[in-house]
Amino acid sequence: MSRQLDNDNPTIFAPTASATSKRVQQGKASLWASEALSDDEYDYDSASGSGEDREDIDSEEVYDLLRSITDPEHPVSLEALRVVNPDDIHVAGNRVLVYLTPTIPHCSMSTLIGLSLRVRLLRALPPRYRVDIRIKSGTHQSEHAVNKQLNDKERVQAALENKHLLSVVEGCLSTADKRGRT
Amino acid sequence: MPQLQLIAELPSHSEPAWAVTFNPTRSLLASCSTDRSIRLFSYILPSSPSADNFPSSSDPKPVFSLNKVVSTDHKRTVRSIAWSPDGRTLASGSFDSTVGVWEEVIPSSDNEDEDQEGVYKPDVEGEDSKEEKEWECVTTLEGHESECKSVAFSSDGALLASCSRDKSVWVWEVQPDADFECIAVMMEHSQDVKCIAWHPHEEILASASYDSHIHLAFDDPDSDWMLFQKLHAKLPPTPLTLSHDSPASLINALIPSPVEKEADKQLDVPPLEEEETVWSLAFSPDGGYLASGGDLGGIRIWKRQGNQPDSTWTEVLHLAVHTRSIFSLAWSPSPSPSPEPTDLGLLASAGGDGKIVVFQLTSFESGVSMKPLAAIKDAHGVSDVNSVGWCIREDKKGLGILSSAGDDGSVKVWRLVSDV
Repeated sequence: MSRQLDNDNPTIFAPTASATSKRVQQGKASLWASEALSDDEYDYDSASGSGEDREDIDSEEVYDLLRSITDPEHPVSLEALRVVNPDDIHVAGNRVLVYLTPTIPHCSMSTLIGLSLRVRLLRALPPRYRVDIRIKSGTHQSEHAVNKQLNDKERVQAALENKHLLSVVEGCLSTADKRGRT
Repeated sequence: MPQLQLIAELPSHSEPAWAVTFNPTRSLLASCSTDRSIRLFSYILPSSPSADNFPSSSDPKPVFSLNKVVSTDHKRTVRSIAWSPDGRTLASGSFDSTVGVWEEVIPSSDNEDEDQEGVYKPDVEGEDSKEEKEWECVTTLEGHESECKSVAFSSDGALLASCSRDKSVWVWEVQPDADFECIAVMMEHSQDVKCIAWHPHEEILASASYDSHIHLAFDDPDSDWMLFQKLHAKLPPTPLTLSHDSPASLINALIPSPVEKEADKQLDVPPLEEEETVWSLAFSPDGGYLASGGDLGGIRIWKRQGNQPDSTWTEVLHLAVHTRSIFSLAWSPSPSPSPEPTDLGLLASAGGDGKIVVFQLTSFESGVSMKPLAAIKDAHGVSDVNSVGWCIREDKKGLGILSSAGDDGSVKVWRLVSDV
């Protein structure tokens, strides 16, 4: 209780876009597996005529995967804190680029939030997607250092094998499957 | 022009595979993974090797099979493995911060020994013992404070080096009976040390780091192990160019397709502003050059300027090759039966863009040239390629055979073949 919060009074915004629900909601988020948007689990009800064309994921769907993740410091979603924003998510081909906006420029939680986003997308997106995560330019005093760390695959792997860190990430992700619903 | 031909897809690890390496004296290939196991694959080379540099794709292929799955005691990812030059010892570096040392031993089984006493049993041809040997951890080296990222034996096997996220590089002296004594701890890097590599015939150790530097160290006769040069890349990248007569396979793998160009146009991922991590190192077999690969996907070549142990190295080439981090480099002697003196051999690179690229390196008066020889994209499907390793053996058989490991957990084997 005594720990000093980085930002003890963040601005909380009302949710904006409603949740898209293109796909069947599945079980609750657990390690790696469930709720994955794997290509095979797609509902190909729109005439399976041209066989191998697969539905591409758009930025709105990626936003849905991320919006309800809980902030590590506050019992509030990343959407409500405007840490993730629909306009800051870009998808093209097999690439996903997510900009995150820390609530304050010295937020020490940025790396942890970025890790939560990465783990969420690692679990939920089909493996063909390559994900890059960046701090939104000008919103963090050490954005370049955080960017480098968030995109180092060895550090991400090592973080996932760190039980304490993983449990914090799991806590943040426990609400992720709400996808904007309350 | 040669091509890479896939000759084996081996039973996969259950989690990402991080490293592959051929045994220098025996027909064994080893791989390691986040699933904490080490896999050993055995292979048989075709009996009549091709007289040319490269076999034809219809020539008999080497046959690979899973030999052993060694469950390690490592508590986290096994990130790196290395064979000793005599091929008897395998070292493993793990994210649990320890280094394991593995040797093949006859498991001690109490009652069997007594049963066999006095009973004549002829030695089976080609086997040291009728009993099945097992790979066992004979020593665990502790000392690093966090993830060990790379391990390597020196060229004569007298020294083992390890490096870690704790920013240190350790040198261990290999003593009899699986005894290892730490003789140096170098702390000059300011961030994670990602990779280490020994010079092919001298006691020179290169280390590459998240701090964007490569350090070169040697055993100073007047003192201790010490750093003698910090390399920091300066050259801007030269774009990769292909000649007009390049085969389609090379063009397809290295030149972006219209779809990829369109995606590039739509979504330009901004490069990291921090200086690039150096992920991978490989010395040329003649010891005169060092290749390095980093986050920006370019291969850099450094040339040794002299023959003293602490002669300086200078950057002579920077070629843009991959579109994402280069996680692994491997340099093989030329497979040619009678290589030209200027033939520096074959350099393979692989990385986060899923490609494997093989270059012919040639020295000329003022420098070195890198000619793309063969390339494969999506070598491990949609996964990153974490490691490539050439088959380099004492008997020089198997040159031109390359193995790779990916985030999909799979281990693949390729060979260079002559025909299109």
